[in-house]
Amino acid sequence: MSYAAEPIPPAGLAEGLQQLEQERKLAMQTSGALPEKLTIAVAGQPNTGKSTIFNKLTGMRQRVGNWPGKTVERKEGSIILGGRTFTFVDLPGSYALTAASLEEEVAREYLLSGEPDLVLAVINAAALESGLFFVAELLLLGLPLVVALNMVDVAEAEGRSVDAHVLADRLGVPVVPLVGTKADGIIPLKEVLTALGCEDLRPQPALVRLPPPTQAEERLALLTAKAALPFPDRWAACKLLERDAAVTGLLERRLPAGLWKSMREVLAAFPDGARQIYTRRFAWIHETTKAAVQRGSRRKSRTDAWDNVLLHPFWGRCIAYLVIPLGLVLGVILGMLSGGMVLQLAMESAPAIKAAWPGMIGSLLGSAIVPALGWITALLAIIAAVYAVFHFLEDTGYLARVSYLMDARLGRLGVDGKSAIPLLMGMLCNTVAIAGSRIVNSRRQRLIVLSMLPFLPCSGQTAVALMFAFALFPLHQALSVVVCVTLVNILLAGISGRIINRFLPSPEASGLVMELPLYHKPNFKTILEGVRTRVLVFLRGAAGNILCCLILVWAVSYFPDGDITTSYLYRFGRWLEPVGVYFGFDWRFIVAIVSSFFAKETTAGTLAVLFSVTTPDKEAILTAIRGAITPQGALAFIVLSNLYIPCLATISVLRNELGGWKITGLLLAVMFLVALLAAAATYAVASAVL
Amino acid sequence: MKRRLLRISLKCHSWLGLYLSCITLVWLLEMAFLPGMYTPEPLPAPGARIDTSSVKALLVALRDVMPPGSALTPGSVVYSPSALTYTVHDRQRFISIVISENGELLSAGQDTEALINDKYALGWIHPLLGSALSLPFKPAFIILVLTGLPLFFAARRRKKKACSILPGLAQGDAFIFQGASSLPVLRRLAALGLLPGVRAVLLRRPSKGPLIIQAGNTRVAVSRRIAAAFIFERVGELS
Repeated sequence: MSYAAEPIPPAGLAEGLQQLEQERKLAMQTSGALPEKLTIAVAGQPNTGKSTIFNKLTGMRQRVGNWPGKTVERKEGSIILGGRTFTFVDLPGSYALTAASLEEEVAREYLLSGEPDLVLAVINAAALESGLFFVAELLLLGLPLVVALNMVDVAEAEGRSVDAHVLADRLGVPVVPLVGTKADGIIPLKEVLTALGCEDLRPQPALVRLPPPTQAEERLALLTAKAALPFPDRWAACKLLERDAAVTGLLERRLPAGLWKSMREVLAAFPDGARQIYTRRFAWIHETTKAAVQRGSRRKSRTDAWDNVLLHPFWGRCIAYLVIPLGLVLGVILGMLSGGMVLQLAMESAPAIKAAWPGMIGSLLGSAIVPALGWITALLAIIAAVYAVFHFLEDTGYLARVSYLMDARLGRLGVDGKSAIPLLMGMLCNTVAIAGSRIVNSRRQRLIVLSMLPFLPCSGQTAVALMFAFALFPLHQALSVVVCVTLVNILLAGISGRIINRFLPSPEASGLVMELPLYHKPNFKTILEGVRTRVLVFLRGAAGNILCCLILVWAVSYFPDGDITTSYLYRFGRWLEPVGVYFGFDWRFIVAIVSSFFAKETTAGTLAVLFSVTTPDKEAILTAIRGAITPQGALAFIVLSNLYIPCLATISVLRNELGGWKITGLLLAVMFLVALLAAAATYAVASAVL
Repeated sequence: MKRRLLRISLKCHSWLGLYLSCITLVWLLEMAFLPGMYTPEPLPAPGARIDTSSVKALLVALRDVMPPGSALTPGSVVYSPSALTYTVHDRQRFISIVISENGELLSAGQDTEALINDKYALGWIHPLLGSALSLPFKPAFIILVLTGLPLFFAARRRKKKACSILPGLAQGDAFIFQGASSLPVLRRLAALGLLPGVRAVLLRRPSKGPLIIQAGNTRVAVSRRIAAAFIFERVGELS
């Protein structure tokens, strides 16, 4: 953890530039001139409409990446207002700044780095109390602050009217009421940002009214002031009393022994220090909301009415078990209808391309590049549609209810309902789901979730399974095959979770603690922006892998003589062919499975390449594939494809999250063995029964 | 021993109940859809004359009146003394033909009962699957009764727990939150608006699974284990 405000010699170019930037800002502040460029950190709790406001502010001018050294996504964008360039950095949604999760750690580190000139805190007017808790944390940091009071319309619908002027007076910072979902909803915010003066950017603004300190805070703050730490004394005192592990460890390492001993004595004298802080803070929040909020007649909330149905112990679960799979299926169908047509066009044009350019170029274009582009488009469409459905459910507030409903069931695996979200995401993309497992609070539960995720079939695997099932089985059996194979995946994921739960040490006191946001109309622009981000991530990552992999497969199937029966791939496949006897398919299917290591979506494309080298068109390719495998072998192939080890991207993210190659390698070895055994068993049973 | 028996009874009851519900649901759906999936071939029209002098003659005559292209593989011929009719069943094609005692063909149509009996419980996918799913159906009922008895008597003997823990409160009860069992939990709750001194309402208290608490305008789902360790003061029910 680094707190860059301390004057230390720059260790490298990045640190040197950062220090120069801070000195420049300090000089400008003391000279009274407002900087030409301002960096604004957009912070807020989840479900406050922060992303909507960020997207409205920055539009399409966003850059997406990762925070340095972390697997947390970073978004930033710039706009010009009143002749100044404002760069907005979207911080991960966090309920507090105690670093209980990776998101909170990232948000806190950035806020303390000295980089942001201002913090834009987005709070939900309908849930003002919890928003003010977050604002209190930010006020303690001493950073210049503007509060965006969002969802004012939702608050009014709930019978609460918030007076922004009174709130601004109580807090001592500008408060801008907004309805972020409206077309012109953020104009007031832009006006306030344009009108910012130097005084607004001064650290620890004088007018800010903080919650009154407790005795413990005062005593600790006196001690931290002696240490000349690079962050506010009272903030450090609060974190010590809250037993924040990161701050406690940092101070223990940096402080002189005598000073640290005095601090520990104060902490021992006030064992209930954190509770006292929260009691004071509640009183402060209570007074503030009493002054600023006018309660009208409490209308029956729409959220209550919806929850009566959607959280019903029986019907709620039935709806959840219907809505989620149907949503995924709908996404797949929408994707197939749009992207599938492009794929069909690409496959049908392959013979014409080969005829127009005979030889290597035609073969490369017709057998690799054009089909690869077709596959990428089809998969892009499926992934975009599925993510649109997923973001829609999340934006309405329903996905949190699904976590609540699944908590009791997931409890048997040793995880709480929050794990439902990364597990559901695992059905879309394992890479994203593994990164998303960070919302699970405890390391123990995260390990369980991470051991389950690779067994869940991602959208790429499901798409491949669907394509093969419909190609190789009669129509009325194809869907049943895919559903059964997917259920086997889910069962194995559950078994994996139970085994890991048994072997890990007994859990500390942990359980579900989660906000259930109010239901609200989804914002389609936010949903589209979320889909756009996912699509870009796919294009940057997997799409390139697919193209390279198919070209590679073509190359090894073409060279050295341009004849597949003498190619390098043929020789490799033939060497592996004895293994295929146990699964009922030949070397081409084995090679297709092996190629899925690069990206799951390449399986079908690789097979198409291998069969298209000797056959002219799409129908002929399908006929050739059908002729090369029995129904029993096809079933075994789909099972193996669904259970095979994850793709390269997933493995690399998994390794980061698990913290080492040893445990990752063990998990992958188990997966590989399970996949082979399951496929062999499927082939044996299917051959006996059918 | 008693608790273990109750736990086992509860588990068996839940799973068997689920199995029976699913099979029943599937059966109801199959009753609706199976007749459409197995439409019989053309059959002789009512009114045709059939020789009923002997079973053999009946079958031969029946074969003669079958429309061209339709075959009949009779499995059984049943005589009903009360209705004075012969009923010929073809179990392979799920057809039943009713003939009066004096030789008049009364009706010929799909033997829905035989179709359902043969193909239910997903037997239309594979006979083995149908057998595997339907075999435990009757034993399941017996086990359900046996496991239900201890649960029934245990429920009557169970006393209502004192409302000293949050899950013991009734839905709609208000309370003042004072604290939680551990600091990390208290931190998480505080960040969600559940601070010491806050007046909260127990919105939902299902029979199992997490509770939902409303503090201010924030709804928080809390697991039963964490909620059981809350320190709170009850303030009576909401009007």
